[in-house]
Amino acid sequence: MLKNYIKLAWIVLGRKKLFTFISLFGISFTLMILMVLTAYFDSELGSHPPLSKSDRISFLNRVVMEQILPDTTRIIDSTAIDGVMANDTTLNIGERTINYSSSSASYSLLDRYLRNVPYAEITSFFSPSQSFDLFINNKKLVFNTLYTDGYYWDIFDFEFVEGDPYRQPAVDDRSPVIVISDAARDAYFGSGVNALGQEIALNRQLFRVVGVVKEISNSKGFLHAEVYLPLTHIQPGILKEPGLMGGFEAAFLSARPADRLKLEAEVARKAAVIPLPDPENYNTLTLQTHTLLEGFALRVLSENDKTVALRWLYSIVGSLLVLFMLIPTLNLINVNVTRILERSDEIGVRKAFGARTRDLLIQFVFENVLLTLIGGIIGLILAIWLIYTLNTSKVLGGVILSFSPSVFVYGFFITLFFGILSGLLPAWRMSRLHVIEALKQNAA
Amino acid sequence: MIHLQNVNKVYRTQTVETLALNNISLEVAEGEFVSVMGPSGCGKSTMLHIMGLLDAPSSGSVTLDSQDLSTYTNHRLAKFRNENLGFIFQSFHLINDLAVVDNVELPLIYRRQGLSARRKSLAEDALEQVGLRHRTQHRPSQLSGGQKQRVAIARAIVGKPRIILADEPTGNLDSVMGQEIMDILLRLNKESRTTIVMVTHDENIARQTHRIVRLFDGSQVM
Repeated sequence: MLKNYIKLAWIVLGRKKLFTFISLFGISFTLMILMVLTAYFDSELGSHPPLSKSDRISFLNRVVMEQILPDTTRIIDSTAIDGVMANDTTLNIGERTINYSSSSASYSLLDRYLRNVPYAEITSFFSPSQSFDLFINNKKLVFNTLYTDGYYWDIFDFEFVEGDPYRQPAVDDRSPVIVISDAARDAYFGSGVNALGQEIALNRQLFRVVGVVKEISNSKGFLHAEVYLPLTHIQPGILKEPGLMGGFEAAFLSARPADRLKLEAEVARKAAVIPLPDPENYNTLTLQTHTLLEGFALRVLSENDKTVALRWLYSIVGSLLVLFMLIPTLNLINVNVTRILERSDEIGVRKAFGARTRDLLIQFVFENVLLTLIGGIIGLILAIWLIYTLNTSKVLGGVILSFSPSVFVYGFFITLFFGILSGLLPAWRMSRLHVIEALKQNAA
Repeated sequence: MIHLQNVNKVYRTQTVETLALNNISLEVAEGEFVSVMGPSGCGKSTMLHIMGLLDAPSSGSVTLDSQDLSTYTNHRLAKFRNENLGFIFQSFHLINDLAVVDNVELPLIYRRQGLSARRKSLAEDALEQVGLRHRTQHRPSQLSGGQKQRVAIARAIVGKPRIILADEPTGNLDSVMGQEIMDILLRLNKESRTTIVMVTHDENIARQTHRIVRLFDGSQVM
């Protein structure tokens, strides 16, 4: 029986070349997009070095100061009751924000109030988004810089291709040490040259290379840099600036993923005890913490509220996925109805000679499954090709996509499910067709 | 072998009610070759479909091989058709995507027994009987009308059914081809005592059978 199904399915698919092409295109294209999208999200948000512990990390990169005042509005309505005018007053008691200011934190805020937050196993402060221009062999190099403390390397597990990170004592001592990325090493010293112990001049000071890390995607400002320096080398004065706002961010590592929310609540509580420098203009301080995913949503959607951003992100990604899966399904259902309708004669004959509804259902669904299998294989090849092309052409900046076999398996089963579904609906309708009707519709 | 008792068939639409068969009672004995004649639309095919369990009567009973089939589920009817009935249609109804031998093998597939090789060999035997042993791998589209009908006969007889129901099997063929088909059916009836009921418009063809049943406006004419 199975052999017959395969044989017939093969013949039918070969005969209806346009139909087969349209269906295969739908299936393989969907799988390809699904694979590449998931690879992108996995690369951005998955637990890979240097973010292997991402489920335990909370980030703080936004300090918000506001002037919030009570705001009461009074609405007076006059109505006629039994011919007599009466006043009806409604009071709306709310709040009004008149001043708003947000930025990353100052080092002194972090150092004074957030050094020992309960539930934080390790706390790291760092300052991204600065750069140095270097000239070497008449060539200008722009090195993005991250000033970090020594704990930074305990939270983010960078892959060191040479040497080791600098530790907190070196930071405290202002040791002239530096960690560079492998891309920076190749650009500065030459490809494949051992950089350990060599020196780089930055801002008229020589730094000794103690470690070389594998370059990571430039989509994450708190991780990506060409050079990593002890934060004590930052311009004099910055570490002692008294305000709450500055160029620093913090990362907190909790002992367990479950402690992350408690930790964030503790950070929020700290905000209440921090005195505001300008109470006449600002009366409320908020320390906004977020996870890697929330941070991604906030960044991509330019939102202020992480809950709203996350909800939007889920809705958009969910809708896109449904849409991507739905398009080939609807396409398949549509094409299948036409295709199976054309074969009503065959259905009639098979029924007359003893085929049961189940036999016909299996036959038509089997054809779809075979089609989906072929589409799946093509989709897999296309996805691998597209990921390779995107990685080598660097269209996505430094984002390196990796092929995930589990995503392929999931995607494939989802497509298979829709393949079965799209075959089942029209096949079920047609297999219930009365024999006489089926035979009358189309005579061979 | 076939027993129709007071069979009526009414087709209803929202506005019209058509009486296709009016109180038909008919007995066909085992090994008998009966032809059914009458003008177009008189209910010949409807009667054949009811005999073949492809359609249900509005009232009355159908007994085949002493079994009252009125209570059978669709599943059991499919099984009964598969094991006891063979059909031949005026327009052949071969599956164009399948080779001749695969078309003939079809009833055996739904019988769910025997290996593929055994089924193939039975199908080739059936094709031998209709003189098409050399055309097993051809597609129906590569055959003439007469050859197509012979394939359809091979398909009808491959499962060795006790009853063959033929709906104008010579209707689409010229007289020479028609007679060839008729000869095969006569031989089948004679050699294996297969009961055959055949609808036809052709008086010459009908006269070669044991008995002619005539219908007019859904009623049997004596």
